[in-house]
Amino acid sequence: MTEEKLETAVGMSRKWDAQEAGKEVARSAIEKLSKPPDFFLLFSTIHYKKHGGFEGFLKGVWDVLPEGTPLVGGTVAGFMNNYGCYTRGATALAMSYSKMNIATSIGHNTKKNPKKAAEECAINLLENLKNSKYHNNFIFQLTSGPTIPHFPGVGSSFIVKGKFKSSLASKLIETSTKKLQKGIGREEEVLESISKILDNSSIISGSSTDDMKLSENYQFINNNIYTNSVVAISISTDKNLCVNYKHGFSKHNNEILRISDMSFGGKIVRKINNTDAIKEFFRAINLSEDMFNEKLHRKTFFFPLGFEYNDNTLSPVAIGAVLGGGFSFSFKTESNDLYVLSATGESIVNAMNECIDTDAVMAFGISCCANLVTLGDNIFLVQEKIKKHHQDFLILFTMGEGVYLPSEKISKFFNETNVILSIK
Amino acid sequence: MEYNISGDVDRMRDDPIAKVLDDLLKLDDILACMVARQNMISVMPSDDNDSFKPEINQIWDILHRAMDDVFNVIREYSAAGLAEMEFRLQDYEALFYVFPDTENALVAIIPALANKGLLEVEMENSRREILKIMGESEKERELITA
Repeated sequence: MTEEKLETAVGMSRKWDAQEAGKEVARSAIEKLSKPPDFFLLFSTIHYKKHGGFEGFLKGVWDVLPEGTPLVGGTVAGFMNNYGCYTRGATALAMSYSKMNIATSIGHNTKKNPKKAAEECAINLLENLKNSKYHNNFIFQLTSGPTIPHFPGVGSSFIVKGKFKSSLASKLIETSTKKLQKGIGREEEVLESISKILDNSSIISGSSTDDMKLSENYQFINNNIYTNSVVAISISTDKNLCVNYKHGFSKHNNEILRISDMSFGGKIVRKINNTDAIKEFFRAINLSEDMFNEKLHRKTFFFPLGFEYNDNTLSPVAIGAVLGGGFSFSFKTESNDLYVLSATGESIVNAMNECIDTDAVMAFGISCCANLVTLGDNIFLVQEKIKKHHQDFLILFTMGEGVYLPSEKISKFFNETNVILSIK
Repeated sequence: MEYNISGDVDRMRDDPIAKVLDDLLKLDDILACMVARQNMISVMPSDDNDSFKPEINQIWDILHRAMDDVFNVIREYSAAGLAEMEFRLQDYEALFYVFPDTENALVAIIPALANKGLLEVEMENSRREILKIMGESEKERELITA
């Protein structure tokens, strides 16, 4: 008797019309499988919002996808698969294999109450994992990422200048996030809570986003569309699952930049070394203050700040909004001691390549959209290299990356990092 | 390899390269795009009335002149492997994706604050598609002349 083969297929569409794209992405994936998929992961860029809407997009998918197929997904900044690299379009991963148990789940209001959303999401997955006869557990979750709030008199901007405006924005951002769900994503809080409940599963957590304008993002589960939510799929199987994570950054030097004034649980940093945080950061990276404009992020993606987790894992954390003398991070740092990190294009490319297990049947994962911004069209170098080893693979470009491994027992969140699942 | 182009608008409408440019122009931050060489825009998006987004009109003359100067460099170094060039002028950036060993480039005008990294990926996809079309066109010509 021959062993049953795990079948995976990646689909793609570049059509502009949402419904047509939905049909094509589903068809192009499932036609490569010899039997109906056991689950379907669906991702798209934000462009379909204006070209038929996500309702139309999902309708197109369900015109083709067998009824009842578990589906989760959402909007991402771009993706890289066996077809190429894209920042516009739709992609999907379909898998069929009888020796796995699948469950999908959703948690609502992640920005308002991430712990409650995580518990709501985890509880359904827990049942599936508990009742499974297989012991290799994996969870992929996509959480609504940050959005830029609009404050009266301040506007919507990555850079808020002026003492009054920046002070107002700095105070309002926490309220806006918690009450209006416009602001910082709080994805690391969702991951932390889910990983406490599902501590025997490897977890990859990506942040849903648009085209990095941070206006909106959407999450899909079955035929529903949500925002400010976490959607997740749990897979329990007899196959070996291996999660690798890596980034291309190292400490630029050993100078410690100590956070001395912060709010919102460390997500807003006002002072470093008792000096305005942004001034101290500029000094540390030797950047002139006249670079303090909306193009700042193009420079700082190469010089993010970073902190160390308890096990010494270095976590890059990109500066989000600049609020007068301070700035926001997209997630909370686990330490008040920050370092300036640096990378080269080559080290970013190498980190991506090193996450890919060339012996695996399939690779699926996430990479930070900041990697796209820093590499630009050089991302094709990575795609071409992965394609040599994998007939089908899918890497999403997300706004933040999280990982939890049962062997480490620490939920970790990053920017500018790659987290890849290899199935063997 | 050179794509034989005329400025004829009717022909552009059916031109597969114009269709590639149409796709590129649908992206919010692509204000104008074209296949061009020095002193000549070879292919524009097929909807000739709206080929450029309106905000580009006020700066087009100076941008166009600057582009022509860049094409001097492209002509000089394309054969040596020059693949990309860009410049910033006022609030706009021009990106040039050179077709290897030709004097032609795919050109896009974007806002200076646009997310260039994301756009670069789609520029590269468009360049690849156009190269494929050029290759097919070349093959057809070879078959006709054979």
